Parts: sequence; structure tokens; C-alpha cells
Amino acid sequence: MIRAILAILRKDLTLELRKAENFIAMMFFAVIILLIFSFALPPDNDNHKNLAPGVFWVTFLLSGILGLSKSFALEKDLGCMEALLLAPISRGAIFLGKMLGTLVFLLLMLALLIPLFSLLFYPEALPYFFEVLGLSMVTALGFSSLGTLLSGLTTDVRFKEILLPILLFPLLIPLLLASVEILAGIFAGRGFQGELDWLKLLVGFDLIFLIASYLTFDFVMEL
Amino acid sequence: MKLVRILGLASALGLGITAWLVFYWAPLEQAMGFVQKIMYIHVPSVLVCYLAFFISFLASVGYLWKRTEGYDVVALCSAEIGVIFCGITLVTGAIWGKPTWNTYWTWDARLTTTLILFLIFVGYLLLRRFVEFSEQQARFAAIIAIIGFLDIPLIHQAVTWWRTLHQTSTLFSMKPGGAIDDPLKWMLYVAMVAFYLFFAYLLTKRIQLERQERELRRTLAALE
Amino acid sequence: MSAPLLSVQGVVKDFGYRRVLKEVSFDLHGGDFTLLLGQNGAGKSTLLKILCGLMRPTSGQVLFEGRSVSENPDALRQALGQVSHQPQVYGDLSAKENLRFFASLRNIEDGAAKVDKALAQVGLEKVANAQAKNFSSGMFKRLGIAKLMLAKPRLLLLDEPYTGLDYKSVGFFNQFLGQFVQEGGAVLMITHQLDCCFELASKVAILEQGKIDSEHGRAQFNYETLIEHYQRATQ
Repeated sequence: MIRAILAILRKDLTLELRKAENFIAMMFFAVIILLIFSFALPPDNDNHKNLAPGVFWVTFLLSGILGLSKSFALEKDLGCMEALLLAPISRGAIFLGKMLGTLVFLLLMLALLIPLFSLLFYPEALPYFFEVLGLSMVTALGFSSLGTLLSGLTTDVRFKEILLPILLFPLLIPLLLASVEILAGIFAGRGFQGELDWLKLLVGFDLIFLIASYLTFDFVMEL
Repeated sequence: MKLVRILGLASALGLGITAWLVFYWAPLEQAMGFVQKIMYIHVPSVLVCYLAFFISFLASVGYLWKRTEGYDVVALCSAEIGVIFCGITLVTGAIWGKPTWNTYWTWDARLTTTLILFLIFVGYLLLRRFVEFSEQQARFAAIIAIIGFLDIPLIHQAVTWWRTLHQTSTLFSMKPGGAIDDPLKWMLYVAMVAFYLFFAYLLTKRIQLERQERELRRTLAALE
Repeated sequence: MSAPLLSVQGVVKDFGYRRVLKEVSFDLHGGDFTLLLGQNGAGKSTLLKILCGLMRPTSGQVLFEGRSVSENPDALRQALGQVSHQPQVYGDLSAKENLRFFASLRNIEDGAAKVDKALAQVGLEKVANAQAKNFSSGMFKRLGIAKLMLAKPRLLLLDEPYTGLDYKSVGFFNQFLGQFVQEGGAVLMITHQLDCCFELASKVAILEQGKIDSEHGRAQFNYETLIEHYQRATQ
């Protein structure tokens, strides 16, 4: 089981590294969203202080969903999905391998997003780099669990580009609210201490949907 | 067949009695006045909506477990009716909100939760549209219904912490001062019973229809 | 007669409102090379997906060595080799990396050495480190055969494996299949290119209107009568 998970994870990461243009496109998209926010929102720093947590996570959601929809597209390309499904491994192993691949990929993106975000939108964010990265791990886990499930589910569906966000974003609202509130606490210098309830909610979200997605993934992978 | 007819008559009677009682019997609520009467639609609707989504959730679990089409029919029909009552809840909430809070929409916790639920289950119905009718459609839809239902407590908790403007649920709180006057409470119970009957009627009728439609389409496909 | 390797019992499959397969039953024994023929849209690929355990039948069941495939898929997956008209490789990985990945999913001991050996056997050792996306269809097929050599299946399910192959590659593939059957493996193949594989086949099954109408031994057919029968059936 663990062997299969690691094999899939390693394979996905190798592919992502070779097709770096995907990652670059995603980062580029994130930068564009940040620019749009900078132009669309009032420019003074006081306002940005209030807006910063929301802008950060919205940027993450919008660019992260690009990474999600790709995860299964690369399996479909030359018919590999069938080969993967016919290998003597459990669906759960495929789910965890894919989910971890997305997670690593998103964390890499977030690690780059934080400096870009402080450069383009809110300079005071950079000193909190490690706190934000720590929070990112918790947020990205929930995002990639539910995201992997739904991205697998929509791979063969018509209009999947629209359907995936329509299905995913409403479900992610608790995750978004919690991440925004915790990030606001971090930017206010309180670390995680101020928002422990929110952190519990976020971890709860991660656990519930990691388990639920793991269990229901079997039903997604039937043809 | 017979059950559907009985439920239909009973719910027509129930809704009629409720309407009569609301306008001719129930006293005016002192603080909010006439507009408070919309509560007799708003509160039962939201309860029916949650019940419908719960039934859809149970039927979806049943479908994934047993893989028999009957569960899928129930899940679909119940979700459809749930979305309608969810919509009624949102609209009546807005009508109530205008005179009460002087705005059609407030980001009050329960209203917001209902809105998000509405979005999730509209997504559920859209998915059903986008995937062709098949066993796969039933499976995918079941997963969304299950995940969506599991999300409800999290959404509710998150939205509550995020912002609470709404008065606490007056009907169920047992605080002596906050409870509604007795006749108003009884009025609400009557309305709830009527709405549940109406829901039972709609659900059985819709299930019957869906079954007939599938059967008909199968027959037509076999003739081709 | 020995117990069948794969036994299909009354398989029915609905697709949407249409019944694609109406009770298909047949057995596949070790050493069998069965051709599955039928019109486009007759449900051949659907049947194959059900046999692989990728799809659940609406009713009926598929047994692999006496055990239900939907309840116990791992035994079948361990013994199954599948080739389709798609290459089933990752374009951005090299031939060697592709094989190593699939070997690691199968828990094969000493995988790296076996991968090199398999690549040499199919004659791909010179391009072992080239990215697979630049391969020709013949090379894809060789890579697919190398994958099968690693997995050591006992049962092959093939869906239009000859698509896009030149004569040389067809010969190479047939040689592999011939040896596979001789060693006791079972093959079920869907194809429209009868001329490529007719010599190998020991049985012919024709899927018509959702049923396997006739399952014939090889002896009942020569190439011409089969073509004739086939054309009549598909009109």
C-alpha cells in the first residue's frame, strides 16, 4: 500500500517537474490575480491590512483549482488511467498518491506565493512567512483531499472546467472562512493563539474530508 | 397510488387550514406586526428543506451500499424538493428581512448556511444534468449528496462564528422571556405538520413520476 | 475439462436507458485464444471493461478462478494483462521510467534488472531513456509487451491491439501472443483486423444484439467462411 502510494507520488512529481510549464503557468496566473486585486481595490495600506487575508486565500483558491484539474488530465492523456486502475493496488492508494502529489505541488506554490504576495499586495506579510506556511499546510490538506475527489469525479464530465469550481467552492467555504480568520490573527501578530477555535474547525474539516474522500474514491473510479 | 391520493388530500386540507388560521386566528405578534406571519412559511420550509437533504443523504448512502436503483430515485427526488424549499426559505427570509432589519439580505448565520446549502445542492442537480443518465450519474450524485451533507455542521459552525446577527432560534429556546406566546407557537406547529404532509405528498408523487419516466424511456429505447 | 480461468455468467449491462448487453455467458480456459467479433457499438468494449472489473455489470457476474471479480478484484488484477489501442504510457517519462513505475505497482522483486531485460527482449534498449511521447505506435506496442513480460499475466484481454501497427510489429506481437498461449495463458481479443490474427485464434465468439450468438471452435471456420458469416451477421 505505502509502496504504491509512494510510487504514484514520485511519478506525479517527476511529471510535474518535467512539465514545469504547468507550474509556471499557475504561478503566473496567481501573480495576475494579485495584480488585479491591487488595481481593483483601494491602494492605501490601511485598507490592505484588512483585505490581505481574504486576498491571499482567494488567490490561492483560484490558482489552486488549475492545479487540481490537471492532476487527472495527465492520466487520461495516453490512456494511463485504465492501466493504473488495472494494477493490483487499492483505489485508496491511488487517491492518497494523487492527493499527496497535489498537496506537495500546492505547498510549493504557496511557498512562492507568500513573498510574491508581500511584494505585490501587503509588504507586512513576509515576516510571518513560517506561520503562514504552517497554516498553508493545514489549508492545502483539506483543499487537496476534497479537490482530488472532485477532480477525479469530473474528469470525464462535460463542462468540467465550470463544474469543478461550482461543486468545490461552496463545499470549501468553512475552510476558506477558517483560513482567513486564522491568517488575520497571524498578521495581527497573535500567531495561532488567538484563533484556536478556528484552527480546530480547520483541522476537523481536513480530517472529515480526508476520510470521506478516501472512502468514496472507490465509487469515483468505476467506469 | 392510494397513498399518494390520501397524502394529497391531507396536505391540501392541512395547508388550507394553516392559511385560514394564519390570517383569521393567529394574533398579531407585538414587536414585528403583520410581517411576522411569513414565519409560518419560512420556518416550516427550512425544516422541510433540511429533512429533504437528510433523506437524500440517507438514500445516497443506501445507493452506494446496495446499488439498487430505488435509492437513487429517492435521493434525486428528495434533493429536488429540498432545493425548492431551500429557495422558498431564502425568498421568505429576504421578505421578512426587509421590514425587520431594513435590508433584504443580511449575512446572518442561519440564512447564510441555507444559501450555501442551496448552492451545493443546485450543483448536485447540475451534475445530474451534465452526466448522462447512467449508473455512473447515480454514483457521482450520491457522492456529492454525502459530502454536501457532511459539510452542513462545519458550514453552520463557521458561519455562526463568522457573524451572528439573527435572534437565537426563538421556537426551541426554553428561556422564559424569549419564548413565543403560546398561540403563536401552536400556530407554528400546525404549519409545520401541514408542510411535512405536503412534503410527503410531493416526494411520493415525484418518485412515482420519476419511476414512470425511467420505465417509459427504457421501453422506448428497447423499441429503437 | 479443466475449470475455466474466467467465467462470464449471465452478464447484463444497461447504458443509460438502453440495454447494451443482454445476458452474455461464456468461459475462457487456459490455452484458449478467443476472438470476440461484432459490429461497432455491439458492446464489445463494454464487455471487456466488465471482464477487467473496471465496470460493474447491471446483473450477472464474472468469476475469476471461481471468485467474483467485483467482490475480490485483486486476484484478477494480479493475473491480468491488458492491451488497448491506447498506448497506456506516460509521454513525459522515458521507456525505462514507465516500466519501473508499473513494476513498482506490482511489487516485483529486483525490478530494475527485470526492466532492463524486458526492454532488451522487445528491442527497445537503445531508446530506453528517450521520452515515450516521441515513440511510434510500433514502439508503443513493444513497450506494452515489455510491460506484460514484467507482469507475467495468465490472462490477456486485448481491445483492438493492432491499430496503427505495421507488418513487422504485427509479426512481433503475434509471436508474443503465440508463445503466451502455448505456455497456458488465455487470450480474449477484440479486433476488426481478422487477417492479422486469424491463424492464432482457436475460438470465435460473435457478439450480436447484446448476446453472444455463436461460439465456434476454430475447426468450423476457415478464413473465407468466417468473413462471410461475419459480414452477414453485421448487416
